[in-house]
Amino acid sequence: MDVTALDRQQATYPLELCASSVPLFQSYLGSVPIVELKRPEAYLGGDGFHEFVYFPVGGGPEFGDSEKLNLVPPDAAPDYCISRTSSCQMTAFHAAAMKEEREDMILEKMESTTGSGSRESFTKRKAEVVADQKSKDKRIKGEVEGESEVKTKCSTQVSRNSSKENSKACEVQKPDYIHVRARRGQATDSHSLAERARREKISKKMKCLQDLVPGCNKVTGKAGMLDEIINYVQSLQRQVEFLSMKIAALNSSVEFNVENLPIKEFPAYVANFPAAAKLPAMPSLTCFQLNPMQKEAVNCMLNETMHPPLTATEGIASASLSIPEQALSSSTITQLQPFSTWNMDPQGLYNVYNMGFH
Amino acid sequence: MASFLPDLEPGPEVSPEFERKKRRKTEGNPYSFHPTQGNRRIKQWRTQREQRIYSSNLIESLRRSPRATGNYVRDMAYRLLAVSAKGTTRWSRAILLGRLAAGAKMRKHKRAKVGANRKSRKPVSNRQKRKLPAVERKLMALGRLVPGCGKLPLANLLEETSDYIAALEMQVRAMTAISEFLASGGAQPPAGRLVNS
Repeated sequence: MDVTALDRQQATYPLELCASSVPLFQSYLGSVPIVELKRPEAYLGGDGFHEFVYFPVGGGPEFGDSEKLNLVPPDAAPDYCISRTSSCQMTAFHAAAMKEEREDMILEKMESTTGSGSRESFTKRKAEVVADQKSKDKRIKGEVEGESEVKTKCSTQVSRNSSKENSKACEVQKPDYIHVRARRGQATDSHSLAERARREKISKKMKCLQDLVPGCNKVTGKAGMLDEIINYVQSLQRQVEFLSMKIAALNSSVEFNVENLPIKEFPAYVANFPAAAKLPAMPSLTCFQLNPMQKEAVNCMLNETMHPPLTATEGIASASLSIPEQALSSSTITQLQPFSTWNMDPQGLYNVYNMGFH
Repeated sequence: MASFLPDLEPGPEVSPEFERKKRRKTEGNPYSFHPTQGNRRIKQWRTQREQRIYSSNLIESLRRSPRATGNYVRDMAYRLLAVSAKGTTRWSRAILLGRLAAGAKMRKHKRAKVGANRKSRKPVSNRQKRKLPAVERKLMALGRLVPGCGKLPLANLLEETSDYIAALEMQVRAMTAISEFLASGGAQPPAGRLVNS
């Protein structure tokens, strides 16, 4: 497999161009003392460097342009922001990505050959190289046609690691183009790269949604997550409707001061609402209980009973039954002692309740 | 009422800048900055300021209008929410442009749907094929839930959904606070509104 890759490379990259790019690369590296950079032809036959890839056709003139090598901090340099571009640009940046990887490879090889002594300088140079590649992106546009036949396999571990680190610095620099690194064993077709970029964009958005929707962490996969999202949106919309009904009710009660609502209407009124529908009963309950202490009792009872889900009618019944107990407990207990019999007859309880506050 | 009218002045200062930035960027690259802008937008929904503005607007509109049916309040709430979104998102534009138009279209679509269903039920073998793109069906369902996003591609739909969810959460919080405020008789200042996540 490696040999065929090499064959392909040999076909697309005439050796003289590689030879011309090597001295440029050397000058690029500048003061790097290790001149063990063998000529790239040597890498061709070598078994250790079988995955080595050459510089592209249009690589030469660009290196000449890069007179200035501004030192960019390594973490900010390669910038793989995903954005939508035309396919033409895609091939340009695909080529740029390829170049970057090749340079990484070269640097990696150099590192391995020279030892870890000057590793910092190498990483710096790598960053510079990559940064310069990025800055030259626009100039690459002219050479798109020449590079559109680039179909080499770039398989480096360095690129994978760096793409992982550098995806953090995504939004730092201005990204006009997609920078996608082809990982080991993946196709470097422009279509598949675009497809991968699209998929990554979508997964990013799904993650963002995952943060919004509670309980999405347990579900994996698009379908399950979409289910959760749909349920959540529906529940939010239902809540909004319910709250709007409640506000309308409160509004009308505040405006028209309806205090004589008969109790019989409440179950029918509340039955239209979902489970947490005890709350609309609250205004009507507060209406017929004018005592502030009674209001408190109602409020705290309803707050307590809100947490366990109850049906509408049950809620009313339990609220009405438990209010007297709460009210009695909150009020002075000494008054309760004469009442030895606790008959659960609602009528009786209401009597007790009324008597307790006179 | 005046006691809880928020300081609306800072609002307009921020939004035109934001919109200008967005317009400039969208001209060139529609999606290059979307991750950051979307996140920023979503975070804005969580701020106290948005909630205060929204709830004060809602209370004001409620006081102005004589009728207070549930549906009216709901429509008003959604319209105000769309206004708070300042028309930057598709769902907000869809809401603002008219629920009436949507209602008319729904009737048309209903008739078309019935006919389509009849056709699809006949071939039994096709039923398997219909169910296979389960993800697609869910996407369509989600598109129907979010206003104005019936036929959006996945990426845009997800973005709209996240913004819509953030906005809905803000709306629920604000309306809960309003209802508590109204229930307490309007005597206490709405301090509960300021408690935010």
